[in-house]
Amino acid sequence: MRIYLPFALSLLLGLSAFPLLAQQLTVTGKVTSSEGAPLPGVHIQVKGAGTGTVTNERGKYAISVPGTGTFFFRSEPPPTLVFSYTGFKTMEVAVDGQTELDVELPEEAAQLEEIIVTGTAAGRSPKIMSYAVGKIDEKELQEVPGATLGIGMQGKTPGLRVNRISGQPGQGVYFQVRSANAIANGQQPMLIVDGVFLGSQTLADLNPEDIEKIEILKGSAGTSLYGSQAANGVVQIFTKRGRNLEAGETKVSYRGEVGYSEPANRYPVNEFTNREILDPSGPQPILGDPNPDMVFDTPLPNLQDYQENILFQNGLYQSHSLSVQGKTERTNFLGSVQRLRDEGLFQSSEGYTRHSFRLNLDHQISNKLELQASSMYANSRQDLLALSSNGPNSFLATTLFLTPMFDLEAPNEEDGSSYDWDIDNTGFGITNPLYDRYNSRQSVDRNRLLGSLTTNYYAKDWLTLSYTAALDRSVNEFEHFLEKGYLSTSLPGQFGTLATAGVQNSNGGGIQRTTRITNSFISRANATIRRSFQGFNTAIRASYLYEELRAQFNGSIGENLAVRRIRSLDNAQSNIFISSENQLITAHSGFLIADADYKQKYIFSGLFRREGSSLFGPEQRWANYYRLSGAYRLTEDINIRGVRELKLRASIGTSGIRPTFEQRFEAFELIDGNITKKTLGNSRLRPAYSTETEVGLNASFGAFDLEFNFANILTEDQVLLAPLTAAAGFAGQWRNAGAVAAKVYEAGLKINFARLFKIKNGDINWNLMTTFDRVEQRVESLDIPAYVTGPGLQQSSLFLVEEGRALGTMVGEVFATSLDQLPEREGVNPSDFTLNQAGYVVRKDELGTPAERPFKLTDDNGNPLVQPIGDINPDFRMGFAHTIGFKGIQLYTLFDWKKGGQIYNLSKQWLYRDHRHADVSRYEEVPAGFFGNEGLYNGLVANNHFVEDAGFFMLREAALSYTFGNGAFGKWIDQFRLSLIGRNLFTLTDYSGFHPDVTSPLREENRLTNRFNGGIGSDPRTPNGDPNLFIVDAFNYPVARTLTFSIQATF
Amino acid sequence: MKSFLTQSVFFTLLLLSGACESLETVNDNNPSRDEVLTSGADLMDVLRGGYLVWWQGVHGAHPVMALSVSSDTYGLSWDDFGAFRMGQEPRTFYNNRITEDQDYQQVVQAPWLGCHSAVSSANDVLSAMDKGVSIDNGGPQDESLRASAHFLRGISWGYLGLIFDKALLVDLQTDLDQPLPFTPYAQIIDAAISEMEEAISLAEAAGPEFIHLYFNGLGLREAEFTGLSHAYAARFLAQWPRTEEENAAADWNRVLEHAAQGLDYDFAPMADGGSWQSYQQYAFAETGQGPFWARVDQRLVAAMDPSQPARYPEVIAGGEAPLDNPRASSDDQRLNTDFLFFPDNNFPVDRGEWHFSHYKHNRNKTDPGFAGNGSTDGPMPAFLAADNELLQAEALLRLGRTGEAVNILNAGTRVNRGKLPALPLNSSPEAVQQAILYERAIELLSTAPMSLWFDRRRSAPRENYLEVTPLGGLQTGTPAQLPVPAGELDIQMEEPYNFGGPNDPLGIDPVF
Repeated sequence: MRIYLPFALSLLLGLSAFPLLAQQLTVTGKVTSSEGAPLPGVHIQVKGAGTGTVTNERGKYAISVPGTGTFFFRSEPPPTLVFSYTGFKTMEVAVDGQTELDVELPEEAAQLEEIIVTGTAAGRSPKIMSYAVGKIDEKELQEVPGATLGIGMQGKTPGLRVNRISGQPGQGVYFQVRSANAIANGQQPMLIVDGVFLGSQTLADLNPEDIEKIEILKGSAGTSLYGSQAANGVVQIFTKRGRNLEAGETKVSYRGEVGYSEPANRYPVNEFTNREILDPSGPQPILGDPNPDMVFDTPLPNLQDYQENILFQNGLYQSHSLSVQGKTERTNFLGSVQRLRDEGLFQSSEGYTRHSFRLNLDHQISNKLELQASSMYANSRQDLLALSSNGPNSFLATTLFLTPMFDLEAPNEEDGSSYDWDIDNTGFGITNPLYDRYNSRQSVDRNRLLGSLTTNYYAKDWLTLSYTAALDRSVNEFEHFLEKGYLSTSLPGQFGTLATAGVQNSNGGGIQRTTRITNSFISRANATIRRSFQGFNTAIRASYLYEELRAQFNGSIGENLAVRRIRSLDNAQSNIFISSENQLITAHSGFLIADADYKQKYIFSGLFRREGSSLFGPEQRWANYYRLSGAYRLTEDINIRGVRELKLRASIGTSGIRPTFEQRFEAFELIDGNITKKTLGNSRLRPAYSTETEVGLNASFGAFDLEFNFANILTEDQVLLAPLTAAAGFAGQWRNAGAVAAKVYEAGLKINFARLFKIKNGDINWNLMTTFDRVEQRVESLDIPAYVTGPGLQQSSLFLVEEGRALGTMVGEVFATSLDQLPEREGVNPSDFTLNQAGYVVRKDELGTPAERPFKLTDDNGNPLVQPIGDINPDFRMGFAHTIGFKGIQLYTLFDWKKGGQIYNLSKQWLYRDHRHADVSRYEEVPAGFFGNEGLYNGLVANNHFVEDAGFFMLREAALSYTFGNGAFGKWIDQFRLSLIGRNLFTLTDYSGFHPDVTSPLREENRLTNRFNGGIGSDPRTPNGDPNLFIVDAFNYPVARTLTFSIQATF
Repeated sequence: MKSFLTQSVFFTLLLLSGACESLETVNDNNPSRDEVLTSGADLMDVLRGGYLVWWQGVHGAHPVMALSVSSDTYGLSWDDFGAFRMGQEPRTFYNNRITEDQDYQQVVQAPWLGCHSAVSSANDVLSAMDKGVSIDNGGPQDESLRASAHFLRGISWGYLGLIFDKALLVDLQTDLDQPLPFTPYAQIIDAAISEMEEAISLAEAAGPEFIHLYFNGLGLREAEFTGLSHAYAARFLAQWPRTEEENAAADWNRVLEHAAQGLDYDFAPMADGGSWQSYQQYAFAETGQGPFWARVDQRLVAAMDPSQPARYPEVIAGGEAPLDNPRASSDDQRLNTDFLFFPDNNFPVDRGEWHFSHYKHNRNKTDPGFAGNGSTDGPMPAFLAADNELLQAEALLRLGRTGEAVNILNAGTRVNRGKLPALPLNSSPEAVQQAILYERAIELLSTAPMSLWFDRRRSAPRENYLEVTPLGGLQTGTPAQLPVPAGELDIQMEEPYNFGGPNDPLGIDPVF
């Protein structure tokens, strides 16, 4: 008998778990909001029975309920289903024999919230998320849709920083989510669009008007699901797909925007000379010897305003987009097309033009099977008037360098052709920028194809199987063409000596073409289980993911062109070089993720991921990641007066940063058929490993919604170039050799003023979203010697990587600005020194003489001291998105405040070289030598004078709109909206350059393997530069102010 | 049926997800060590790469540009290549720190890494050969390869000994996992000479089938190779001294012995516009690159025309009188054939008028076959036959055989190209010494890299920057050797040090 007891007990337990098994009735249906939008993740329970389910992505459900009638001889009331969903009222519906039951859940007074998909098992309401997720929804993006996606994300969610290289139309942006976690490999988060893992790290190809919402997972505590690519955060973008329409509805929208962009200010250039004027007449005045006091106080003859007349324009900005969304019983879709043209600020520029197309289509094949397809194609052309590589030979730089007294349209003496190339007779040898402009062209053509297909199979009411395949293909074609007969003293880009016709045996000119193709493919299978029982709601997902990234690069360059105008590689006669590179990167990973809550009060999430990548050394092939996360919604248990919601959260998680292909593999460099030793391979290389602990809270009280997070991040095993002794023959080896630690404080506060001031009038819409973040990041440990690095521009390696230092510390030489800085040593008597007009310490006996120089701090042996001179890290950043509306009229503004943080003004330093900066003539008593080579210019060696406060307070976005109500324009037009839109309308800053919101370029167009000295990313320790860390202004394309008018009509 | 269909579709897709690449991907772009050292032909490619990095380390932009300016060979006041900072007057020290800009650090890093990397490649080849990798099983091809590897070690150590105060001597027996001691320059030079001698004996053993193709395809037969090896040995033995005292102690017998067997042709690999370039020839020669590049230093103009000052007057900054006549005149015909006059100057005044001169070197344009532009095509002369003759003459002079030295001079370029009068046989040793220095300065200009820096440091006392003479020594405080790069010292846990500046007038005593 004893042996049957366990069996009997099991049977009893089983019966108690499924007491109504004998008379089951399956009820199916759909749960929607009052607007008809399907609600996924709605919890449905059989009242009193402890069994339940949740709705799927389409809001559908199936649940077994006991039939009516009798059970165990007892009469039973009809079973009742309880539908609960955060943000909505809970509904109870009796099942009285129906097998189909559609339910419309009324919303609670609070705003309708969507579910968060990224990083969860099966989608979760933000209210029951246990770690921080940033979210930017359509409304926040569409008030002022930028020309390119990224920049419009600044200031809209705490913890997301957006850096841009310049204001160049079509330029991508660089994100930093929370802190900088990588010393050498950049901070770009993982980017996902509708499930497609982006292989090319630019969002510039996407049409911002297609975007429905953006989710941002901020640190390892949230991103562990994405493993070794996720320590810098994950940004997932979702596009519209007609899902929220009523069945049978079709919506056509047109949005047109037309306006112009203009430079926000002018660069201060020197309009005086220190030289005798021998011949003041144009087009080429002649200057003589400098005056004996070396002071720039003589107005230049034939003064020109180059910035107004040859450099800048008010460039046309226009975009037109048309979209169609529709929905039937089983299908919903979005089709959209956009043409955008942004001419930019520079005269005679073609600017940036983009065409993009999108088709998203969801179709339900049967009750159990559905397909979701997303596709996008974009084609764009960018005229790189100012090189993305910038530097002193760009159009902007030479315009500022040139002494503004020449008529630049004067013809060449040599052949009568346009624009006298060597009109500069001052001895500085600056090529006429107009000559360069018309004889040197660079452009980038990009083609981008994104596609994904997802199949969901609802095998059981509690089990969903799904499969996704997704591809991102990016083709980037760069062309640099120098016209035959090109004359210059300096060689642009990567061209060699025969690109100028001044060299013996050359016609000059040249052509370079490079093509980079990246294909990022993923294949993923998921099994998701959802169960609800006894107040517990669980979702468990098991996944397998395969990633494959193929990158191809082909480049050719040749010089000494045979004929004019022809942009064919066959036109080159000499110095022809070819280069190519292929990369194949694969990764396999599997993960298990479990989200659970008890009555939506106690919340838990945990996951484990195991990942292998070809970028890990053979001896370190697999890496493991995990997350543990919990939250407690205090207000569900304790009634706190005035507080509707208080949730406390804590999470810990890990994720990684992969080494690059070059770091993993390269041993011998092969260029032009020559094999030379470069970096030593490392079979033990593993990804950097980031551990984040996050605590936070969410609170809603009165008119306020508050989120606060504190994150403590430690990223170990940094992939760094360890220098090797020269005896090894290799310059270095990439090793795991350091750690970065960061503390992040971030907060978001939403205020509903209408509620705060108890304004009853429902026509008033008035609210403010404030974001705040503060980041403290430093090098926690370093197993290689301290080093300086930088973006690779000439003389720009000034960022110190040293244990204990803030990541982003600038070092350089120091000119004393206070007598207190004078060293106590023989020969230095403070009474011999004084401060000059410019605020620097100089010798009294040199004051006002041509010999006046700033005092440079040195050690006892006369070595200039190299000290920290700046830090890129701001004290904090804040964003204020404010909306006020009454009936149809609405004013939206976004202010962006960066407090502190410094920028290195390399442009200014360059302009001191030839005394072309206005500073040189600003002080009537300070001689030119004070600013020159032995003075502040300092041979272009970094020093404290060029470190400037990059803080700003700017009106980044503003829109004044009027929306006409239904029927105002007849029955065919549902809605009509007019807007006046401004971008970057004003900036308060102490920065002396064009704009402080710029950074150093990333190396994009060059050979992957061969870095030339002075080229972008030529610093081998930071192979591609890092726009988030190396805040350097080097003749960057100025940030534009844009004013536009838009019309939006929905049919 | 429908359910079966949907399930089939789904599981087909699942199966498709299994069609994946493995994690064992390879690098299709750059070979690994295992791949480049497996066959004899591979070894030749590796050695070719070793020769290239040696060439780039010694003939590239660094350190030649900076040292040519600091030895008053050329004037160049731009910041590029560390030239401006090493051309300051009075001279400053070379600031050997990792916080300096990359371009400036390259002054020491480029020759340091280039030469050591070349030795490493040579060692890889010799080691693989010891393990049995072979072209023709010990035949003349293997002998050629071995000789070429030893030659590469020799010229690499030779230049390390010429340039640095100490270097790393790594051979097949060195354990790279142990801390490596630095070897002083005198021993590095000794090792270089042994290698050259080893190369010579191996080449001679290979006989007529010997072939050397490692200088960008330039074919050297046995006699040409041994001549070049002897010549380099003579160069290292003659130019290593840092001071006059060391110069007096040099082994002039061995210089003579090697120079006597040295090359009788102008050694000049061909430029290809890519990896094989000579930056000094590109930047120093007149290539039509507009007004930007270097001028011949005024001291050399004064060497040809003694009526010219050796230091260009500081007219604007110092209020000195301008040149009476910027156009020089000389009995030496080369002033007209090898140099090009410019009436104006091209550098900004506030960067130092001492960089000014009215001449550029344009022998590449006027002497057919001598040189190209150093960049895209044409020969890049690195060791002239005249150089070897002058080493021989100098050795004879030092050994007291003045008459024989005069004979060599009179048979050489002084008379052939310069059309200068023959030196009398009974000339004083001092006069012969000056004539040799003059030829080395004028005839060898833009050929052997940094040659005048080596010659000025050993041949005459240091000179105050305001009182320089045409063929005098380095300016006081000019680094006369370079320190081990700070990055290498960091690895070896040693303090960085500098040479030159006010605290090191000779430029050879470390300043910390």
